[in-house]
Amino acid sequence: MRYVALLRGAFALAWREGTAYRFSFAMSFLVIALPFTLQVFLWRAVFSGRASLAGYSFSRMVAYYVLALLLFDFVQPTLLYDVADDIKSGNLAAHLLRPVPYPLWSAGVRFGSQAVYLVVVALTVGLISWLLVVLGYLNPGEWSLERAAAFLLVFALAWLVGLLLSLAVSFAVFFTEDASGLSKVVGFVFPLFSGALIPLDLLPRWLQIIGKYLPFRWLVYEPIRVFSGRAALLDVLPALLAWALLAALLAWLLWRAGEARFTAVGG
Amino acid sequence: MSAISVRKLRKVYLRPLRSGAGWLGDLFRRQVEEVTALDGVSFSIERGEFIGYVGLNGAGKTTTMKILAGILHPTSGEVGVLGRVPWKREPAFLRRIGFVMGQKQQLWWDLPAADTFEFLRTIYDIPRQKFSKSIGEMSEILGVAELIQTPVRNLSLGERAKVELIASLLHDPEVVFLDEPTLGMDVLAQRNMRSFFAEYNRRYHKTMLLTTHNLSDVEALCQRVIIIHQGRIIWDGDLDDLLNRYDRERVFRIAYEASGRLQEEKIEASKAEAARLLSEFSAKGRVVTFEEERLNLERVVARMLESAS
Repeated sequence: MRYVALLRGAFALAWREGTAYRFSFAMSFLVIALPFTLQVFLWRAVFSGRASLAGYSFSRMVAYYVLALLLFDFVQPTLLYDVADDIKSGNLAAHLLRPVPYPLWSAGVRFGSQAVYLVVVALTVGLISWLLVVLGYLNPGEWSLERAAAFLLVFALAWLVGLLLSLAVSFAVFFTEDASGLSKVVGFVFPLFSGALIPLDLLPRWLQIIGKYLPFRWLVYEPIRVFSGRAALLDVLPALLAWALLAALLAWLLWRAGEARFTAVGG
Repeated sequence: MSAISVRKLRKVYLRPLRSGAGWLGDLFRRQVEEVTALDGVSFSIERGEFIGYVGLNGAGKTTTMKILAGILHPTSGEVGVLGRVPWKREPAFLRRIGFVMGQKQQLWWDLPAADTFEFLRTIYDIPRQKFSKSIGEMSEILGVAELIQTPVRNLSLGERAKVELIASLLHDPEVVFLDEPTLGMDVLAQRNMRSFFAEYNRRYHKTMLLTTHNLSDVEALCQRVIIIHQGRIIWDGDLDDLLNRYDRERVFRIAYEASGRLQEEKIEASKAEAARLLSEFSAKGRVVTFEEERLNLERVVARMLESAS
């Protein structure tokens, strides 16, 4: 019960901080919408003169990217700068004095600041979708409420996996001092193997095989397939749960080892 | 039972060393040297005591405090704080200690202190009434009552240190570690902080351990002083006894007029030298003032550390 209160408290702090700068809050809309617009133009050029590509019609392809836009920033494992900074500066010591586990605190903070951002992204995506429907690029006839609900469930779980993987990446700072190298590798590999760059069906076969053994496909590609009805909820859910457990275990092990190291030298 | 007991505490750090094997060699063969930060430190502190923990940079002060607060593991030795082993970091233990770090900050930069306070209230489970009362009392003594609704980034250094102090004491800890709490503060803020600590110790009967380079703080606040030098304790006892050790030493302030100019000198010498100094300076010119005073803590500590090195 106390941990729920802790998460809520960290969330409240991060939310308030996230909305403290109204201008940057407002500007996020543009930052999200611009690259997306370019992608739509690109695919319109690709689809000119053909009805489908690897089983995707143009409207399905556009839908794919709208959803990828919605998912990407929330499921992508990334270096959490607050955490890296706490470890490098030794400020972690101040956190260790508190009667709450640090991983839970940083998860709460991350979750809070991302929730602020989700509001921005969801509004942008909603607006873009409406425009695309009006333009005839998207076909709402292909959607279903049931599948949309299943998608939201999968999204929430994928978000959790992304958050846990982010914690693991960040706790690597205990051992490498500079984890930006690691986060660059993840930043390069993730768009490719998650399907955020292009749908995985379009990748060469050998890349698809590698991707099978990574958690990333379950964070973008498969959730979108749940929305479009190509994958069943019950096929995706177990894999996501398994990856969530594995990611939690990895983050926890790294934390335990890192904490032991930190309290040996005192930051 | 003592609030804090420390027996034969040792802490050895491993410090990476440039091996001279070149950058490639360094990559594979990290050489380290052992640095002994604490070398058999023992003391015990009773409830309600206010101790000054004094020493040079790198003497082991902060290392000791971090071990006592549980954020550092010792190499060997026994430590009990409120009857607990600190580095197990049991939540029940952490709720009973407080650590004020002069150079670390826990308040959120972009938010008013009140927001962080509210978060701390949640994690320490502080009853709302007690919470408002503590904030009210502390912010009044420190004179920052109207600042806790201002974003922290808009506060001055001294103001920030004061609201940080409130954040560290909000959960009403029984043992308080103060590590350079007045670092970088101006004279007035320092004095204000000092009277806060005195009041806090007297009114609530807290056990407090203070490290600072500002020895006048220790002189004003602490009944007992522990001096640590190169990882060993070279003095543990009453402040007055410490000052009395150099009872026969004096600081002479002499002002004299020679060839039309007023000159001043400050000389440390034994009490018995007074007559000789007076005649010596009378020979140089007309002595205008001749004052003698006992050594203050800063001079006493400097003397002790010089003879210990």
